[in-house]
Amino acid sequence: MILLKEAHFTNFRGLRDVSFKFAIEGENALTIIRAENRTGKTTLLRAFIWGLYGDEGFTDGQKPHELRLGPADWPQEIDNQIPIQSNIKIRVIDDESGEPTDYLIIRKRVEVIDVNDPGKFSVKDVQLTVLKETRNGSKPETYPEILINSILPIGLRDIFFFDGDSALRFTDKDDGNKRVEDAIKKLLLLEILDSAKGHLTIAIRDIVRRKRIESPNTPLDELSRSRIEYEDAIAGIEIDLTAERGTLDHLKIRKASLEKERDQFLMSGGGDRGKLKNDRQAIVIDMDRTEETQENNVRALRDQLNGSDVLHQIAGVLLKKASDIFSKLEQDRVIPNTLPEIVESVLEKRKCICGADVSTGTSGHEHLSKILFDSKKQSNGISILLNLSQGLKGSLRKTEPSSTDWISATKLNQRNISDNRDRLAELEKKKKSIDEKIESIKEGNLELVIKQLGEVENGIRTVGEKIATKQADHRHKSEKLVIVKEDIRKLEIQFKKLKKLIAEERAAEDLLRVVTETIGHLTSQTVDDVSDRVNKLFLEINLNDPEGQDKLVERVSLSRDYDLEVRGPNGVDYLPITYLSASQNRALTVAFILSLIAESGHSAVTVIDTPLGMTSGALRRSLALNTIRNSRQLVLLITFSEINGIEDILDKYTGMSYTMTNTSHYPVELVNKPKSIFKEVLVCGCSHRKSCPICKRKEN
Amino acid sequence: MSKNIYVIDVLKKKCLEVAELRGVDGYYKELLIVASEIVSLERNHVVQPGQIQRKIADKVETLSKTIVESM
Repeated sequence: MILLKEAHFTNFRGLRDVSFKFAIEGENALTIIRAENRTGKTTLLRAFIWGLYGDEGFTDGQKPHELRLGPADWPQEIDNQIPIQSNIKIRVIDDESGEPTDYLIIRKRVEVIDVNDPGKFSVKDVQLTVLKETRNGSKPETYPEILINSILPIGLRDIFFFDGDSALRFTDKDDGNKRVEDAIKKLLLLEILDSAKGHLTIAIRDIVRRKRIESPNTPLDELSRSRIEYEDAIAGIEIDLTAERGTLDHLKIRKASLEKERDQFLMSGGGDRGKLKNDRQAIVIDMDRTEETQENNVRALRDQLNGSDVLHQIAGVLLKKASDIFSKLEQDRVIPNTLPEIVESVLEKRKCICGADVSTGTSGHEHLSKILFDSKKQSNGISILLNLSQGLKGSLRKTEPSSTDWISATKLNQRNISDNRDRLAELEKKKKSIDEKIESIKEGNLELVIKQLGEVENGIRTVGEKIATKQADHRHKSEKLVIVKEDIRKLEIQFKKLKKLIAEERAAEDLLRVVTETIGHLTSQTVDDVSDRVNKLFLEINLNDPEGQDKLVERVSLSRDYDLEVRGPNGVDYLPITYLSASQNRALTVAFILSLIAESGHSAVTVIDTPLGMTSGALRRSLALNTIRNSRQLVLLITFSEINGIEDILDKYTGMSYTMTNTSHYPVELVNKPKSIFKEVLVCGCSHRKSCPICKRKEN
Repeated sequence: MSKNIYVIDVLKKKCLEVAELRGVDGYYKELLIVASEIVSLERNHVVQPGQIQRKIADKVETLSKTIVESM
């Protein structure tokens, strides 16, 4: 658990010398920082981001060092060097032991203004220090960046330091689902688990290579070579697939942008054109859903056909009969044939079991050699029988018939696939008819947009086909690999000296399986759980929204492809950005972020700039209350107008209050003349119900 | 450090399932320890990438000792 304790900023834009202590305890872990618009709320949010992540924290297009952080009205004629500093104290509480540790993160840099050209500057003396505070004093951390990244990874910046005004970026799909996907991947440690998966895969391949060295020129060597070839081929296909998927994502983003342009054109036409857009969108959403269901059905059918039940359905009786025959051969001691080993051992010792000398040249030796020769001749056939017997037993042991009715389930799946195929064809026809109508509108930019859209769609289709081909190849080679690995396992039993390596391989495969299945669970079950939580929280917030009653929402959901979707009346799905109002979109984003944090168990401070903008009345109250109740520690940078209507909620939950005032607001908005001659942010301890000579504002 | 208890819980569940299949005494505990250490290593990597690979190979070898004993 990560909590924010204190912060002090020096010369960061208008924050020339400001300090805050944050509420961290229990129900009242809410800190309110009240500030009118244009005071410096967003600057404060950016100061937190810089303090923790440095220049890398800014992703709004500015390159590191190009962004001047010092105050704009710095008196450079007196001093052309601006010392900028941020001190942020955080408390890290161990999730298991509950043990708290405080860290003070100090980031500094000096900006040197060019005396000949005040527009230019350079940066020097960049420093980052993290002090771990103990009872015996402070101790600097050896790797401060790594420590910060492990506590509050930079990828989670948008989750824990959240600008309410950019909330729509989570739902507008301008960058596909990237923002939502990134948040999920970071909070559920999916990138870390993927990296572990990669390292374990390499470890296994290394063990396999070492095993080959231990067993040269044997069938095992040949099989290991095949295994490596398959694994190399599979790794190559995976690299190609990653590249193709990247191209596909790029094309999809381009497609979304062109579709947006087309839709905006159609909406601006109103009437029939607006209807064309809405009808098309409804069909596309329906198609996506049907395709998803179809994929699940095909997957289920494939599993049914590949599963063990099929063996029992087709050949259960015959296999049982064959197994009985092999059991009888074993009972009669026909298999296994142990005679060659016994005779070899006797010849090696040069002494028979009866005590007779069987050294080379003796008649006993000649007799036993003949027995050995005949026995080995038979032995080939017997060893085939033995292999068949063991293979059959193994197969029957692994494939216990399940209790479900396999035939009915398979038939049902086939019927569903057929129905869905018809449904998709019908939808495709409808979409084509609408597209023809749209294409017939020869106005403005639309013709060009439609043409480009067609090209992008062709591109998506081509890349999609390539991916499908590669996936099929991947599947085929993976199946072959399983067979080769099974053959290797059988042979390895014969090589005792490989025992250690075999154990290592098994250990690595177990670990890989644990990691892979954990990823599988997180990307399916956990995403579904987050989806349920988002739905519950959003509906709770939305229930009180009078505007929400015009736009009924039956359910919001998060798909396993990281799409946030809204289901309206009659089960029709919509994109949030087109169906919901701006305030509802904001509420959905907050619901998503809070649900994800809660579900992941990654408890940390949430700092929100302008949390309730564009909201009013009951929705505002509900959004405020739910945000507070679902956060472990919350810092709200809030305007005077956002406070309207939620004063009683803030009375109940606020632990610490501040008001920020910008000196440049005098004399138009401030009553009293500030003491400072600079444009800067002043901080006083006034709560949302109070004012003092520093923050007192004129009434409109 | 925040250990992300939820993910660790899923990892525990998966370790239990895999250990049951292996059927070796005391294996679940060892598997969970090593799997958690690997996640921790990946998360807080204060070492170079090549070193991570080596450290993971060491962890695998540690776990394999429990399997060798049962072979």
